[in-house]
Amino acid sequence: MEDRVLEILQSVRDDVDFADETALIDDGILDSFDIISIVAELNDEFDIEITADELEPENFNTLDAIVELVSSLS
Amino acid sequence: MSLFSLEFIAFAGVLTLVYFLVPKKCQWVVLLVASFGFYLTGGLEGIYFILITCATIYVLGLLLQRQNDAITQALEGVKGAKAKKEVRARFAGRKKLLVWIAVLVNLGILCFHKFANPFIETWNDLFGAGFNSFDLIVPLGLSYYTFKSIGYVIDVYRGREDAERNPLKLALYVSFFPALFQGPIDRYEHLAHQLFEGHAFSYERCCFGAQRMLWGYIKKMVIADRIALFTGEVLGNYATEGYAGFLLIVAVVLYSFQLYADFSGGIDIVCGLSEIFGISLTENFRQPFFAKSVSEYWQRWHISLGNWMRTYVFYPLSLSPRMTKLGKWVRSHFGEKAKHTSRVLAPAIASFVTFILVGIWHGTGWQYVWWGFFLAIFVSTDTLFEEVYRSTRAKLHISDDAIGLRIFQVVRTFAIITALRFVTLAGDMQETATMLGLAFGRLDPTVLTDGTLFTLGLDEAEFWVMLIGIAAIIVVDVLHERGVHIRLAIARQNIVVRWTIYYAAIFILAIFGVYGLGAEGTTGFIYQNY
Repeated sequence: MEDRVLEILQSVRDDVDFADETALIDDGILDSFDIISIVAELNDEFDIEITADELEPENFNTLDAIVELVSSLS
Repeated sequence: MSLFSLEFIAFAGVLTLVYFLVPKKCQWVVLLVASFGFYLTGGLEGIYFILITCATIYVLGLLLQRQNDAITQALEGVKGAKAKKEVRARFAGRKKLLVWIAVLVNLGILCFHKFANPFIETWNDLFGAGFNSFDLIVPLGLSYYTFKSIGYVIDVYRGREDAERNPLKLALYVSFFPALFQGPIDRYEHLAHQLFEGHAFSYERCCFGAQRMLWGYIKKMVIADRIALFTGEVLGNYATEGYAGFLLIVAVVLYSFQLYADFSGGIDIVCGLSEIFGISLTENFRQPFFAKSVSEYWQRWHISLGNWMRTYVFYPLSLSPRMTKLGKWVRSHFGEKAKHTSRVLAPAIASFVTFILVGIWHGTGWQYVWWGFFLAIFVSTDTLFEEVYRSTRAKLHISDDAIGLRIFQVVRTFAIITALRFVTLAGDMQETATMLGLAFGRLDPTVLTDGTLFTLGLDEAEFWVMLIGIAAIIVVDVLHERGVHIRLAIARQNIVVRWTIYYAAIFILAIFGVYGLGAEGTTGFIYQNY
């Protein structure tokens, strides 16, 4: 799952090193348009429903956190 | 009580003394009494509304908590995401009803104060009716504490926060007086625990807080209020006095700096005071004039409002079922070529709604709706045409990191933000067109050098003091942008240098502060009216 999540993240922002970044939201690396794009792709790919309730920095600051969020909803 | 009065300085001094003399577990009570005491100095009218807000979010927060507890209980032993989703769905209707009651009651109070009279005036104008306006005084901090309160209830609804069981503690979160003037709109999870826990006195924190307050007072009273003398003359009288061309352009550019010095100066004062208490308020600014795009500008300007709008308006709208369907429809009809568009279409539409709401928050006229609309155009096109911009840069062999590109982007963003001031400064769009025509139709550069600038509210010496003040703000922002902690750097100096700086700052404030401007000047902030 992690590889596929990484692919999706890179398809939205190919200029970001998702494997090493630890503060994607807190450091403003991803903006709100990026987040919505990523969520739309993740929802489609994994047939899940990430809602606005889950759009908090701690769920999107790292690749691991995003993978964990997807796992919890799958 | 004005932030600039001696009464306020005395109030803050006595409060600091009492705050650190009482046992730590009682400190929050001191802040609560001080906040409501402060609120009462503005009259009794506003107190009813803040009490209604406290009561509604307290009761509805507890009712939502009861639902959340019931969900937790019902989820025990349930496995699988779908089964859990079904359990949550059983409670969704009741939860939505509760959260909507809280939102509508509090938003209703805010909208009534902001829109009732403009609505009646418009209705009377359109239909010749003779309805009387309400005799309304907008309570201090209404929009700021309303947004904080709605955010709290939604966070409880989402299960992000446990409802506060002590009504007095919740009342302190709502009414914490430094944040009543012009925010910041602090989220409950960030502010509440800081308010309720005890804080030991710290000399270093006290010095840092006092320094920041002093810098805030200088920004407001020396710089913003001095610029106001010029902008007030030019922008207030351009129609009757015939100010046009570069005079209007200079005035609107200076107005951008005035707004920044005024708003961020006030925020510095309240953040500094809170810092003395050991409470760190959310930062509202991060060198906004260094933004490379309009969307980045809104991540640096009035950050707490931007965060609020993003969390409670933009995200829910972007991810609403209709928006999701729209994105899928675009991709299914236009294929992979429209992949980027299908991704950003929903957030682009949501950004229009969000920015129009931001516009309405700033004022009641149609020009504020237009202002929000224009902002949204720039924000959404930044993303919609990102691929085009990127490929154009590649074709022109311009590196994304090129310093020239960065300077161009910063200047372009400042120019856009400043040009949009024409929309809000004018009474309506027709007036905006007139102003733009006057500004760009008669460009005579001699007014910049023939001394005309020194006859419009500020003489030559005063004008130079204003420019030096603006330069000081820019230098401080450059240092912050480079990661320099100025107050820490000052603290590392020896005692002679340190106190020379402090005395110089106090001297500058005392000598160059603009006093006695009345209601539009030193007694209030521009953003205090929102």
